[in-house]
Formats: sequence, C-alpha cells, structure tokens
Amino acid sequence: MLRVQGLFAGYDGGTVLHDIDLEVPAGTVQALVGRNGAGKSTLVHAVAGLLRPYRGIVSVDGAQLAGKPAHRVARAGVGLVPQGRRVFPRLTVSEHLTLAATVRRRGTAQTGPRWTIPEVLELLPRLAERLGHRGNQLSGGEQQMLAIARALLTQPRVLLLDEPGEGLAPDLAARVRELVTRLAGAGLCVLLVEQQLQHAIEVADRIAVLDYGRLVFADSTAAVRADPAPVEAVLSVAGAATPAGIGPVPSGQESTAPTGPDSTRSGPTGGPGTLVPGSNSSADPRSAPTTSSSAPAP
Amino acid sequence: MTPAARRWLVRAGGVGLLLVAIALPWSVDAYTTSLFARTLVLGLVGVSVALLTGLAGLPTLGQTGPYAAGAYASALVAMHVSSVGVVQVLTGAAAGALFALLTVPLVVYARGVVVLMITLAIGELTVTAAGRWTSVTGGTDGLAGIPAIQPVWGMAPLASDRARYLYTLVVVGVVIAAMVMLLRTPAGLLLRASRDDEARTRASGHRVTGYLAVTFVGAGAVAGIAGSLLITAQQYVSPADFGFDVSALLLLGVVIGGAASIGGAIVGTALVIAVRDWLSGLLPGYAPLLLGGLFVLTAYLFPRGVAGFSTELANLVRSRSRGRTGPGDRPGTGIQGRPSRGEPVGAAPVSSGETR
Repeated sequence: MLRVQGLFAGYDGGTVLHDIDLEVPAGTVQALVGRNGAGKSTLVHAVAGLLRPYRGIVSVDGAQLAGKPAHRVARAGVGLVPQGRRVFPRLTVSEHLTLAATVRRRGTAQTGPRWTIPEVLELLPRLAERLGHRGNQLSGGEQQMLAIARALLTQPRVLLLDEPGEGLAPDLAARVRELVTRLAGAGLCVLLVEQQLQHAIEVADRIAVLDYGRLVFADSTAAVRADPAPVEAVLSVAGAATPAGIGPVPSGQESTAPTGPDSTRSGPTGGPGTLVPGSNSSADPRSAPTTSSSAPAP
Repeated sequence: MTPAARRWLVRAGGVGLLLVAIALPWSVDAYTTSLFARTLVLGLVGVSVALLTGLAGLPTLGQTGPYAAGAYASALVAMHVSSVGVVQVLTGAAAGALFALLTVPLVVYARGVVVLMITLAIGELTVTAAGRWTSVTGGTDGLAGIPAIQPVWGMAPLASDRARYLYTLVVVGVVIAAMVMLLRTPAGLLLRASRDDEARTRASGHRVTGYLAVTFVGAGAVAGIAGSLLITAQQYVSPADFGFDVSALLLLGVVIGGAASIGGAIVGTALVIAVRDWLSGLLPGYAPLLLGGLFVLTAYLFPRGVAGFSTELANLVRSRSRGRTGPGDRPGTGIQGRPSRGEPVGAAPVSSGETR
C-alpha cells in the first residue's frame, strides 16, 4: 500500500503541496485529477523522490520513503512513468529494457508479480517489434509503452503514471488505460494523474482532486460517476475563478465558505464526496515540527 | 544509406586507420614517428576526456591532472624501480585513479560549467605543484634520463622510435578495446542514459552519482596510463606537458571529433595536434588561427563532430535521393522518413529541493 500523510512539498522554498493525505491500497487505481498547476506532477515527484518534501510521510508497505534519494525510492518499489514519457532518445528499446532490468529491489519485500523482459514484451507486443529502434525513433504511443515497460522491470509495488494519455491519439490513450486496469489487477497500487475526469472515471477505483496544492475531494469512482458535478466544478475554468473555496475545515466536514487568506485561490464548493480538510496556508510547513503528525484524511 | 551500411562504413574506416597506423613507422622518419607516438598518447587522454565530457556529461578541463600523476609516477618507477612496461602502465593507471579518487568529491556533485571550472582549477593546481615540488618532479626542469622501456620481463629495451611507437599503439589499442567492451555493458548504458536524462535515470533506481564517481576514477586511470606512455614515448617529463594549453587542446579535439565517440576523440585530437605541430610549421605563427578555423569549420559542417560524419553523409544521401525521386513520383519506393515522434523528450526542471 502507498500511504501519503501530511505531505508538504514545493520548489525553492515555496510551498506547492499542502497537507496531502492519500492512501492507495494494492490492486487499486487512485486517480488524481486537477487543473494545470494544481500540483499533480509535484505530488508524483515528491512520492518518487525527485523532490524532497518539507515534511510528511510517504510510505510503501510501511517503509518510510519521504526524503530518500530517487534511486532508493525506486528500489523500494516505486515505479514512475513520467509526464512526456521521457524515454532515453539515444538508447534502443532493447537497451532501455536491459538497463531497467538491472535494478534490484531493496528496502521492501518483493511481493506481487515479478516482471521479466519476456513477460513485459508479451504484455506490450508492439515493443517486441521495435527492439532495435532508438527512443527518438518511436511514436508517442510506443514511447508510452516503453516508459511503462521500463517502470515495470524495476519490480514496483506502486506505479505512478503522470498523464499517460497526454499527446496520444484517443484509441492509443484508451489502450493505455486498459493496460493500467490490467496492472492494477495484477496487484499493483496505481496512482494515476489525469487531466480528463472522464478518463479517470473509466479506469480508477477512487478519484481525488487537487486544487492549488490541496486535496479538496476524495471519493469512490462510483460516487463521482453518479454525480460528477462537484468535481467538474473544481476542474472547470469557472471553478478557478470562483472565490469560494476550501480553507482549513474540521476533519470530515465539507467546505462551503471561504475560511482563510488563501480562500480566493481555492475552488470547490462541496459535493457528495469526502472533502479533505485543507491546511492553513499561512503556516510555513518548514517551520512546523518535523514530525508528521497531521491527521489522516477521513 | 541504411544503418547497417553506415556501421559497415565506420568499421571499414576504423580498420583502414588501424592499418595505416601500423604501417606508419615504415613510411616516415624517426622524428615524425615519435611525434605520432605522442599524438597517440594525447589521443588516449582525449579518450578519457570524451568519456567524461560526452558519455558521462561531465565536461572537463582537468584530465591533465591524472595524466601528470600517471606520468610522474611512471617516471619515478622507471628511474628507481623497474623498466618493465607492464609495471609502469599499472603504476600510471593506479596513480591516475588515485588522483581522480582524491578529487572526485569536488566534481561529481556538480554539473555543467561548474565542473569545467572545478576541473580547470584542479589541472592548474597540478601543474603548479609539479613545478614547485622539485625534489620529486624535478621542478620546471622536469625529469630526464628515464631509461628505455622493456614491454615485459625478459624482453630487450625498446631502443628505436619505431619500437616505442608500436608499443604505444598496442597499449592504446588494448585500453580502448577494454573501454569499448565496458561501455557495451549495462554500466555503459547507464552512463548514456544519465547523460540524456539524469533525473529520469535516478527515478529508475540507478545510483547515478556513484556511477559517475566510478567513471571519473576510471577516466583518471586511463589518463594515468597515457601519462605512463608519455614517459615511454619521450623519456622526459616536465610541467610544460600538462599546461592549460594541453587541456584546452584536448577539449577542442574532443569537441571536433565528436564528444560522445571514442574514435572521434582520437581523430579529433590527432587533427588538433596535426594543425598545431605540422601546419604551423608550414605557416609559422598561425597555429591558433588555424585551430580556430578548424573549430569553426567543424562546428559548421559537422555539428556532431567528425564522428557524426557518417550520419551527416547518410542524411545528405537521403536528401539527394529524395530530391531525385520525389515523394509523389514513385510512392513507396523512396527512402522512408523518420517515424513520427511523440513530444520532445526534455529534461525536467531541476529544483533546489531535488534529491540526488
């Protein structure tokens, strides 16, 4: 299980993520949606170890990973499929796979499926036909498949997918989503960043919404499917301009009114899902106690 | 031109160059032969520069440091311990590696221009130390009277320039072959991957900093071996062999040859030395101008260096073929264009909070 608790993170001293709580059980897909600049990729980078959180907990199967270098986080079982694929342009598909397969799991027990190159090629047969091609000679869809294959060969327990359908033709994006479902079925915890709510609904078990670095909504996909209006309100351009927002609210309660100095930047206006309490943005997390004692999300 | 044909062209060119290199001492006088031996030595240092600059992404102006360490250590061993080549080469490698090991913490956490400045400082400090540590290095007078080398135990000392050139050629060939084999392992793949996208490589579970440190030490060992061969080739060493001009020429040669190519590094270094030592003899006082012209021409005609010549040639052939055939004239028979790409693969912005 991936567990994120009381996570604050940002760049160059500025705080982007405020008190994020998230749990992704094994075998499930947790979608993370939000507008551009909401902090989705920042959260993925913080979980993957590419960004050192100011405070908070990131753990996989109980092993604390926050603040550890990216290579240790990866070896502990966190696989990253980054936004834009970022395959190595001058390495062939075969070399990508060979390199990824050299990584050895450390820090957490090897549970779940153990991927080998033949198994990955069986899962993604298109790559088997392109083994001798360099990364920059692949189409967008092939690059995405390669990025996923590369992540799988590091034997992850948790798979972070940052907008895997971005820039792909609709049928290819649908195939990627189908693949995500299969991987979750194989026992992986999947954290999927999506901009399109409909795509998230298709594939996820639960949906969370980030807005201005705060987790403002979290509920099951079934609930969102039944009434998508609250999430759509946050994701809409109008939602960005809506002054009413989520400020620090008592745990478990919906936010319906501006409550803090940042309230003009926050968007949602409540809904059927679990509205996660925001944190008081005026508090500098780096000056706060280093122990992560934030209350988990209800 | 297909990739297979291009590979064949490169291999044929390599074999041709090797044959020319073997036949060379029988075609030129002794002075020119010794000059070629020193060019080979600098070519090997150029290879260590290319390993760091082009493959590891650590541009360096400081490989003269381990080069000097290897040269002085080998010279002292040759004068006081053993004239056997194997011993001297191993001593040079160990001294170069040790030098790199001592300086690696300064370099391996930095990137880009900062590496360039740090390595420049290391190289300059080394030359200054070599000039002032008179009791060991002979100061600015250098160390002379180094005995001729025996390649292995029981062999006669190499008395002629031709023999010393061939010995240098063999050692350089063996070292480069070993490097090429190493670079084909997953460790070599990792270097190439981290050069393209370091953050992504780390996020794949690879301890990039550790690999870069090992590469830096390995490049130091290669430069140290080159230092040992310098002692063999010229039987004399002084701080003038390791000045800033040598560092700059090496980097220039590697850029001209193609920073990511071992063969390109040797060809580029040879070109630079040829311009400096031969053409400048024909046109005295114009060496810097000639070098500058060579650099501008290469940058304009071969942006990927001389090593990228085959690729440029392939592109030229492809464009000519397209021009002749025309895509609409004979559909399906022309050379196919590149497959469609996804969006450009760029490095992620690196934040100050990024973990290594």
